Amino acid sequence: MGLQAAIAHVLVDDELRRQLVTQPEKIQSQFVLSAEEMRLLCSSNPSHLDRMSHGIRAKRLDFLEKGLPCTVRAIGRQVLVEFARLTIPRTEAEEQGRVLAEARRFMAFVQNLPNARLPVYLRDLGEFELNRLELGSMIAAPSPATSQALSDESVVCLVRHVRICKFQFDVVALTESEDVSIGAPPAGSTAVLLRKDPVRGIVETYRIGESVYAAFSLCTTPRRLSDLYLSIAPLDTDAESRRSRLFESVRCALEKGILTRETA
Amino acid sequence: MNERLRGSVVLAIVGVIAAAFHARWGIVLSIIEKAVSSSQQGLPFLGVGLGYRRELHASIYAHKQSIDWLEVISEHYTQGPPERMATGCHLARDFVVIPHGVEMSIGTEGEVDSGYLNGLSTFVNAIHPPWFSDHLCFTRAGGISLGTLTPLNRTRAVARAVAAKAQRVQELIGVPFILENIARQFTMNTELSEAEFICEFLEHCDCGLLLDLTNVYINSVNYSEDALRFLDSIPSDRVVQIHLAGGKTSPHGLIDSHSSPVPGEVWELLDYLLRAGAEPKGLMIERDQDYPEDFDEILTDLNRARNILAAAMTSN
Repeated sequence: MGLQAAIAHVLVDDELRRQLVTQPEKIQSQFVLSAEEMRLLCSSNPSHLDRMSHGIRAKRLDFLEKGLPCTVRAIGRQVLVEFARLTIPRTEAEEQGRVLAEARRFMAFVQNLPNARLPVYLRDLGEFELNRLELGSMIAAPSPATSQALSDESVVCLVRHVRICKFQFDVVALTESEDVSIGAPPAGSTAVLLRKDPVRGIVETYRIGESVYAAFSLCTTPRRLSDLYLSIAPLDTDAESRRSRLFESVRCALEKGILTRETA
Repeated sequence: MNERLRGSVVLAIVGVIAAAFHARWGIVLSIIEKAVSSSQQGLPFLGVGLGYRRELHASIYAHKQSIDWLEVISEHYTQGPPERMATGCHLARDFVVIPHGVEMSIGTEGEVDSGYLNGLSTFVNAIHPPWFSDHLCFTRAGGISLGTLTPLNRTRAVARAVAAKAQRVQELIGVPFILENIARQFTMNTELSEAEFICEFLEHCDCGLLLDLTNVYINSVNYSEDALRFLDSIPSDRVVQIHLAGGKTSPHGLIDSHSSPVPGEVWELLDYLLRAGAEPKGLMIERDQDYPEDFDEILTDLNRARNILAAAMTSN
């Protein structure tokens, strides 16, 4: 442990800052500080530490807002304050940058909140924005990718530059709304295809119909769409209708440029 | 013998031989002195630059002729998808680009994260900057990522340990490394003053100083310190680059927010420093938030820096 660790923990933990004033011996014991280190730590002005702590939280919320702008707008200030106060910014989550780290922490945080404290569409909206953010950051698909229960029937299907997601609520309309916190949430399940333009690095969102969603949701492990395409291309058109829909969906997506063939 | 000393000794020897040849022994000592203290002199003079932010991209390119160079936040290009690094390379085709890190956390006990250094090294190799920079502080400790510049325990031992580490980083990256003084958000009764700590650090490595004059001013106001005394105490010949920015006032003091034009007090510090003989290779205006609708506000700061620099060079 030591002085630096003590400073870092004190700055992100209200209780430790209180203890530093009321029971400094506990801090000394917890962080194994020498008498000199303890003298140094106690020489800092508590109000300055508080101020810096608030600054750290404000900065974290700035990062969160960059990553999940609509989600942050849709949620009450109290939840954001709690998030910044109750979650610890651990170093291990930082390798892809602060914006993604805070977005992931936040979505993990809201999963454990009672439904009554959140707008009904909040988890969908957050997962939609997080998927966009992760795709933009080129995070590899979990291997093997599995159907994840985002809302009850949401499924994430991953290939290198593409994700397919389905949500209970119309997340596209929510993100396009001027103020997502006002008015009734757009109803109806929405399937979207997120595609990262590998050259420009921009993540594009396409609404997709049931047949396209059904086609791509068959692809529950990360695999190249070209493989998928080649594997179904020779299929007899008289084969079962689902395979036919799959073929048509992929062909249309390729023709429209939503998807591109990838060569190994 | 480190690289700085080795280069300086070669310069000194050449000077001594030349002076001796002309039997002008009186200047031999001054040549040695100057050579030993001139490790930064091999660096190019960049002029007056601006901190690159995406929000300013269009204005920067529209006023390209008024901006001598750009400083970019290293982590914006070294973390995340590879196309971000490509964006940095694109900038480097049009400007001299200096990578400025905020998350190396050189002051954290132990070695600097090797993954971080690999990313930085790749970026530096791609854009070929004359130097790169980070902060004299820590941002991570005890498994916590503070994400903010946190003051170090200012002891001689810590200064020397950080100096040794900075020297290793510089040698690994292969480009001069300069470190910046921070605006302290809290302070402890440490063994050394900030100026003493910086001197001790610089004495034990070959790295340069990125002097943030706004931070000097903010610390002087928030902790009742003497800014001029601070400037008199640090080795001005090690100042490679200067940061200039405007902060904001809060009920608790000044905040280094980079959100407003450079205040008069900071311009006065710049004038004082340059007239005292500092010869920085680059001055830079930082603006990170509350971007002005009219880019002229930033151009005014750039021009003022340029004028103060020119006036000081003329008078010196």
